Amino acid sequence: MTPHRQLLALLALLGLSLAFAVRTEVSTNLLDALPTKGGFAEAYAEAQRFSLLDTILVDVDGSARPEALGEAIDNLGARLEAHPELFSVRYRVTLADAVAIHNAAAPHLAVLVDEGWLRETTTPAGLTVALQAAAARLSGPTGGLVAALLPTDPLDLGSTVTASMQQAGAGEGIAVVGGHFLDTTGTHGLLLVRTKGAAFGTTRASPLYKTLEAELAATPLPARWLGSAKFAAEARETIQSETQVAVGAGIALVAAVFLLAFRSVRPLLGTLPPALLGAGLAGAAASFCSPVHGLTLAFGGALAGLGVDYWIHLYLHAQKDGVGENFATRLAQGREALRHLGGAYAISVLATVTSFAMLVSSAYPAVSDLGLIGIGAVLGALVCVVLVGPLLYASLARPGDRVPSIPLPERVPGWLAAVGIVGLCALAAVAVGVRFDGDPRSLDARTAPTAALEAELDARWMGGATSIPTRTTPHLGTTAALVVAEGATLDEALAALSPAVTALSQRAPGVQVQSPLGLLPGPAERQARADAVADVVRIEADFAIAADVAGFDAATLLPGLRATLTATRAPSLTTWAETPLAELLGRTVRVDERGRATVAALLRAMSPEALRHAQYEVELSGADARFIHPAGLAELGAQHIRTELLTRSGLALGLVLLYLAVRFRDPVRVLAAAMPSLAAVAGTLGCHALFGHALTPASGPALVLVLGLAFDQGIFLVEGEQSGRSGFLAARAAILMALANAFAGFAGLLAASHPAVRGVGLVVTLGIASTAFGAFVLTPALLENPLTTRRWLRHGAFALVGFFVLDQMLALAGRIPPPSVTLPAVHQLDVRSATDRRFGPHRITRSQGIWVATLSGTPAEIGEAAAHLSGPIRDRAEADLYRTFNRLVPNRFVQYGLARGLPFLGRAIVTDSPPAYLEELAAYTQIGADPWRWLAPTYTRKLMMHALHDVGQAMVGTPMLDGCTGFVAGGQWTADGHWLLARNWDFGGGDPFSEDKAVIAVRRDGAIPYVSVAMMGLAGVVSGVNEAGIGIALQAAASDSPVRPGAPMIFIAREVLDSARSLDEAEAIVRARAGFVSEAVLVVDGEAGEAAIFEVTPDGVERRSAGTHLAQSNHLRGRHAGDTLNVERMAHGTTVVRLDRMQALLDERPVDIGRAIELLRDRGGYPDGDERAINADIAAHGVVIDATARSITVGAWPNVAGEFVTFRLADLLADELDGAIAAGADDPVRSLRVHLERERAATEAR
Amino acid sequence: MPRRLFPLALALLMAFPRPAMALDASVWLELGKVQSLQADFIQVQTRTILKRPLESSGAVRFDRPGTLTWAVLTPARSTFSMGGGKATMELPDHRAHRVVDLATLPEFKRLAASVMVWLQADPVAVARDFTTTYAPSPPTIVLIPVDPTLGRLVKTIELGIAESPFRVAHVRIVEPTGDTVEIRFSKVVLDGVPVPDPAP
Repeated sequence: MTPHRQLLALLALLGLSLAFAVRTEVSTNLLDALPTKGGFAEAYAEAQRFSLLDTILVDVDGSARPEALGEAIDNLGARLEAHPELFSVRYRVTLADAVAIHNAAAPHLAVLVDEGWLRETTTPAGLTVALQAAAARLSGPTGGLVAALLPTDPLDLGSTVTASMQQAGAGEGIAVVGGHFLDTTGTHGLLLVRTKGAAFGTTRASPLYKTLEAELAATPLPARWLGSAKFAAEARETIQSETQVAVGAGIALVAAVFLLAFRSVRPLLGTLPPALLGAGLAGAAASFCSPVHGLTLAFGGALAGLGVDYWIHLYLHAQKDGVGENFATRLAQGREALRHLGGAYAISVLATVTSFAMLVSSAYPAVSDLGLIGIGAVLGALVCVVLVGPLLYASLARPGDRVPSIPLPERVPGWLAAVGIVGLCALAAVAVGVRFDGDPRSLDARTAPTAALEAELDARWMGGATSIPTRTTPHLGTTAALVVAEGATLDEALAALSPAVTALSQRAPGVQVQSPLGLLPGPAERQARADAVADVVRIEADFAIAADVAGFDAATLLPGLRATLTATRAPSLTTWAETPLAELLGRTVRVDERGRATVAALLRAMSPEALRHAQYEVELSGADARFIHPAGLAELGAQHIRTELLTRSGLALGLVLLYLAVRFRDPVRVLAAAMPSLAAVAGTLGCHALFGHALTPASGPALVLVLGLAFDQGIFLVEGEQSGRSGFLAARAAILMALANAFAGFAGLLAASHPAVRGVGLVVTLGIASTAFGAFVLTPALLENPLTTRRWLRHGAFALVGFFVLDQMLALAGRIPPPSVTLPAVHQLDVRSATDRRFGPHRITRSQGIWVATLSGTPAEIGEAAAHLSGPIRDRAEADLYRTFNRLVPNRFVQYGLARGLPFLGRAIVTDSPPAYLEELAAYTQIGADPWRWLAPTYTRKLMMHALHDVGQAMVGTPMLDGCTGFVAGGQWTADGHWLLARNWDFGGGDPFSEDKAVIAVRRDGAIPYVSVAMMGLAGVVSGVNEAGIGIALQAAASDSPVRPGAPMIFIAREVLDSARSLDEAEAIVRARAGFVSEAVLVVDGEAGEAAIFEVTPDGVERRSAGTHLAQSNHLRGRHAGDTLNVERMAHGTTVVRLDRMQALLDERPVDIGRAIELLRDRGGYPDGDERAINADIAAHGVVIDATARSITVGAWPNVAGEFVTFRLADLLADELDGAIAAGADDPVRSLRVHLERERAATEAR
Repeated sequence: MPRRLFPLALALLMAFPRPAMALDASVWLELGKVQSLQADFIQVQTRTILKRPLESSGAVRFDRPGTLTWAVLTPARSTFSMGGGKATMELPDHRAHRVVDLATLPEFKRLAASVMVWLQADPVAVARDFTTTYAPSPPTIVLIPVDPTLGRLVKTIELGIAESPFRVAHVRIVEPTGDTVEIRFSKVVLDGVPVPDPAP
């Protein structure tokens, strides 16, 4: 083809591609970049449908004129209500609301009232009380109102229903004043605006945005708004401006690189045609997937830069032996270079197209679009170079032009390559831990004023809960969630949701739930309520008598009563159409045209912890419902990215290696060509993992872009090396130019404020740096000095193998062989529900939020049963313990040292521990999979976990343990003469000890039955009482006695319960075993009526009589009182303050179980969470043991704030596992707030 | 007037009793001068839902500007109080205690204030919420609600006025259903000064 025809062909191609490219529609709507199919898409769609993501807060600032606040809110609310096509608004509660609700509820009262309430009210006594109360109310000044309502609602059900429904929607920290939602200072008002469309599409020009801004600007008081719509609009602007700046800077930098390297503008001019055709074909490809998200197009455009590389290689390769004097010679040189590079071009473009082809099938439209655009860009650039590359060279090159020399040594020492490869292996190993942040909102950006506004409004209206920055969700609200259920009919969906909502309302403190069930009771609730009032004749007869006594004319009231009780017709969606509750139903119920329904409960938790617990309760409720929350969305998104990136990158890498193998047919050359790519992957992912940066939906695909770049460099380098030294040097120079260009093009992104843009910059710059290391160190070393490199690699491999062998020897040496145990295996696990599992005679259930289990038989039977029954609890606890371990010991080297070193203590534990417990543990560890086995063998690890109390105390200086406060009391010092032992177990081992605490009754063959509280899978005892009336509890202490590895204290405590019938026998057991560490052991004898505290140290045991009552905290008061460690603890810790407080409270008057619970909950006037208090909101469990009654009263989660529930050993052994509530909950939300403050402080400290 | 005639004129003026005040809108100004009122009451309700008229008795105390306690002692104890932006109903025999934040329900607050308008004696509120008729003999004020919400509860409120000093001696409330509520006060104490009960 003649040069003229080549030029014409180029122009034709360019024109054609531009004609397609201009049809491309550019979008900044994130929805265009997110998956439209799969679990993530479904969950995200539900979050959208139920407005989880699209609530806008409007804050009206009345601090300057508080008196005008109400009027301003009404004014703004009315004006916003005038735009129903854009949003719905909730801004006040009115009497008209109450009247409307009352009227709507009237025909359905008996269906809407709680079953228990109905049953109680319709007993003869309940009816008498209700009517006498009505008579009393009648005599008040509002008697007229009462008289008007009684004939239709004689039991006053309406006010109960109305009052509960009116509260729907009010949140914590929001006061309803004058019908408006105000903050606690009364100076700021809140309007809740729910958008009708998805917020992600919002721009400043959107009607939603403009309307809000205009209406807010017209308010008499300052008003501001915040929500996803604002974040989306700002993200769009930030992306656009920062990408434009980065691209502009990139072009300038690339030009500078060319000018610096070639000291001429001519080579730079040669980049224009391939860049233009690359961009043109990229645009044409984009037109086939229009609309294309702006981010995709920006990064796709950058891909056109790859085409520049083809030109650079041609330009430098052609002049490697000098530039021809005339055009014809240069044209021949160019054509020769093209012929030489043909193979490299082919394999390079194949590799690059393969990489991008992997992206085309991505579920993320943004990513699949990028793949298509990338293919277009690369092909365009290559076609251009093939078509007119020699022509360009001939036109632009001049005699005297030389290949720029690069400031890098040609020869690389073999040891450097070996060290580099080992380093890359290490980075690759670390890369396994790279995090993926799949939350689409990680692509949002906050401007500084918006971030400040978010923090302010969050603190004011959300209790500050959502402002906790976490590593995975740096700026997301983590406390809102949905529980979604579906059904073929509305009733089916409600029935599916019902157990979850019941569980949430009963056992999820700190979580507000808005569900449709209060307004649309499910079939089960309706049936239960109908059953409660089924005996209408009896109720009417009793009512008539009660009415007569109260002075009412029964005849005038009975019709209303009958109508109320027999009105079993269920309320429907239309029932509430004319009330404010229609808005709530609109958000929580969806019914399609076929009647299929989706219902949702909207949750707003005060803290992530409260939300996590709520999710757990929903799971345990057995509801056929899904729990959806932002963190969950992020996890789903992360799974998507992880799967896509790993499978597609892996496949691309594999295919490219195959191409290389076919092309070079030499393992060393294949490895050399692949080195830049392998270095790029290992370096980029490894550095991300090391520095804790996550890959996002934006930055993940950029890794594929890096791969494409790196493939090219390896291929050109090996091809260059094959064409001689000058070809190799020209290839090196071209690679340096290409990498410098790419770096110049993308480095500007590192300065971006938008996390997604910055993330791309980070991936690309790290990738380029790693590629450069591969291309200039590893590949040359493999190509030029293979023998030396192989020798060093061999050394490295020997070192790795040596380390592995040493590690395994250490692991083997530390491994503790479990005792030989044969599992009976005669029972089958019977899972009746998430909270009712049975295994032969053994059973576990949940009572008032506390797990209750019974185990019996031989040690092997007990261990086997405990493993089967604990199942999911065990997995959850293990995962949480591992998280706690990571938190307490974040350093990986120290972790490794502990994992390999601690098991050596295990031998002493085995020697000193009762064999029965080890057998039980061995049986326990034989059941179920063990995902943590890589850390240490299962039995070894479990045994060490039983010594956690002791090891932690010995090694960590007791930060987890120095907090237990308790007492023993009995005889004259208890109300009924019973002997009590009460204590808070302040153990920071993780949430499972508090959330999954278990009351376990054990009847081992040949041992005294006992009940204790801790958690499933623990073969030892922390707090418990046996059938002989011996109660025991362990509290950490300190002495100067050297630590003596031996039986864990929890085994010794269990041995006391297993065998002791008196304090003397208990003392003998403790003396026989001695102590691993120092401990205060509280023991009571309910039978003999005495109590003692054994001060146990590795040196011996000192028994101190407790008299009728004695408190104990965490220091010793006997002969070890003067020990340095004990004195230090007393001087610098909180133990003395807690002991004095407990003793003083105890001295005030005799105690009973109720009083004991009060003492355990005492805060001593300190600020909440202060660790000088007996109750510092950190107790894993609070327990009152009645050794005389053989009962154990345990506090439910959280800490000691939940209900205290009493379990009698005799009942448990008789398979009666339901406990009795001994004390109600004590403001669990307050306790959770302390947790929240701690979490916040810890996060800030991090 | 010669200086010596002035005491005489004054004596003459004082010798004649002041004429009865005409019962018109200005009566609210007189009633409004009372800062505190306490009294015993007997209330009789005649309602269709009752077998027989329900008589209750108790004590009422009002302190301006808006604190009210209405305590029923027989036949069942109950206390209704308003003040500090809250309305409280307590039924001690039924362990019932309900507090309503009136600020959250401004309409209810206004409704309650309208029913008790004869205690507040606020001429603006009276003019706004009622059509008022003044009858001189016996001195009676009849209030007919203007607001339909209030009108659904109350048809008329008749206030029997006693003089020396001015006060509401009894109230008769007629409801749209025909039910009536009659309240008679005794042992009235106005601003700390006991007032003799009028002759039966």
